[in-house]
Amino acid sequence: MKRIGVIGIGNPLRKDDGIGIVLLEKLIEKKDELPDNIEFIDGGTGGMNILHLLGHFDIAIILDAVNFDGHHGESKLFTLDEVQSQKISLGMSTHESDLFKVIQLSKELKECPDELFIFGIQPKDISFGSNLSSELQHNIKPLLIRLKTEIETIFNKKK
Amino acid sequence: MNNNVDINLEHVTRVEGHGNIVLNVRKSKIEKLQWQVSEAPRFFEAMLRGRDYSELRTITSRICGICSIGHSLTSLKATEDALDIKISEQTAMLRRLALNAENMQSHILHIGYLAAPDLFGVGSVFPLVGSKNQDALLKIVKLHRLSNEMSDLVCGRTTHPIRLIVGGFSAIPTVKQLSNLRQRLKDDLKTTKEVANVLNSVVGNFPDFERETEYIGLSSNEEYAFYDGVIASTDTGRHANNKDYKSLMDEYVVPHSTAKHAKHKRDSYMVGALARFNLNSKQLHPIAKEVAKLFKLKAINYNPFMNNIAQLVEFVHNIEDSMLLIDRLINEGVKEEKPVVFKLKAGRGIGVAEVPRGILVHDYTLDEKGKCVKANCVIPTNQNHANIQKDMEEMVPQIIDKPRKEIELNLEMLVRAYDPCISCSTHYLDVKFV
Repeated sequence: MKRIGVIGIGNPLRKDDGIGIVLLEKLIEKKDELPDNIEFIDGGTGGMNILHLLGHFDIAIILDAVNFDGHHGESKLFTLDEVQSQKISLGMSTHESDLFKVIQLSKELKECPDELFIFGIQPKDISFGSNLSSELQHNIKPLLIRLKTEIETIFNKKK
Repeated sequence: MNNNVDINLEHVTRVEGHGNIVLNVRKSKIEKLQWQVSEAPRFFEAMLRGRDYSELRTITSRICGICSIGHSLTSLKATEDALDIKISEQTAMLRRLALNAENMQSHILHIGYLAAPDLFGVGSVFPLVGSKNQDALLKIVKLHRLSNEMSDLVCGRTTHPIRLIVGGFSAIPTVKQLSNLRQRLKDDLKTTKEVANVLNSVVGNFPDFERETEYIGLSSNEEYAFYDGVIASTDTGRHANNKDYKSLMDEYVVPHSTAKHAKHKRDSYMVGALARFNLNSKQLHPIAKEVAKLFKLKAINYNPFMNNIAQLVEFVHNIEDSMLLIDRLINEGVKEEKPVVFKLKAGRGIGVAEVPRGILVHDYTLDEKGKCVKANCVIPTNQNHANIQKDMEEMVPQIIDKPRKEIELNLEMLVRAYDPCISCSTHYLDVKFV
């Protein structure tokens, strides 16, 4: 059976930057409704430290705040082949802000899951603060419904 | 001296956050030289006010994804100090193990992925894949994986720990898990020595630069201090009272930087692995001492670039120390202990610990219901900014005749040697669909 990991990423002390963690926690509350070979991981702002976590899975779904010029709270499921990173960072840092570099190294080291999806949510406000913006807070329920559906679809296709 | 040089390095790479280096030389005279830190002001202390004592650890563990164990433990020490909670011997041993795991995780990541490219003369870690140095890289990857899995075992997660709670642990590793970890640590001690030999063959690529400064860190009669000790300085020795930390860590603001700076007796001081080494090297475990000897690293060493090597020495020390801790835990019998029971009370508590980048202080005042009414956190990187600036001021006249690119690289390498964490906060991705 394929090993599936759902990894939440972000900083809950930076308002909407923490949406990946908030969704992960909500999803864990509903894990009985999901297939049992799914592992849930709070990657926080571990940056490069998530590198080796990726290697544990055949399929990984990363939950993260993503700026794709969408409406606040809008979500998109995509693979890395579908996007270009807009970050100007050229190198890596210990806490790297650009997940793409971590994934790239994971690929180079042949640790990357066969399939990797990003469930991105358009943030509104990533300033300091421990609450989500009202736009994202109001969208939690539909985001969770969509996320569950996407996970089930991926699972049913790949099992 | 070069007549005119203009360097404006925005966002120094392979360090976290936004740090800029500005150098303007006109008619052979340095007109401007600044280490600018454009960090947004932190509001973590404000976020702690009004929160319940039980939440403080969880919130502060989010300040930094790399130092989340260190922030958690320092936060717990401050909370437990305020509430007069005495933890058990087993909890203290497991916490030391947790701190070792984090130090290993952070140091090997910095040495291997961020500093090593400078030593091997490449721009990032990527060209090392498939190169003649791939073997060394794969060994570093193996050590990083071990450190992550050790954090996971002791703390319940690779990052942002969950098992560390007020008064103890919410879950305790089994004897079998600890024995397996000990075996892996033992095996990887050999791997670490192999990595040390490779790095020693290229260590000459670090600039030969020295500047006398003050080093501050924890020190203890019992051990090479990480979890416990008193604040000490290479200039003024050990200080009796950690509660008086502000007299040693004088934080101030400068116009060219939004991050706080700090000083003590001199214009600046340094914290981190080299500071700890300079204060406590005699207490290193034997193989760590051998590795220091291999690199001819002796206290007091005034070359900031050797902070990278001090990190490697500490990595070895952390492995040896963890093996001894596991032996003690197993010999004394791992107990399924519950966290200490305590009563809420008003009070002030101060927690001090050594985390990968240096000495960290959390200072909380709680009211009688356990709500935090005041908080102060002194972060290691902020304590190093003034020292980076002073190093640059001394180094630039020594390298100013070199080509511009080389001056840039030397200054960047200097900043990287401090392994600064300028703003470990946001993480969002910015993408364009193609």
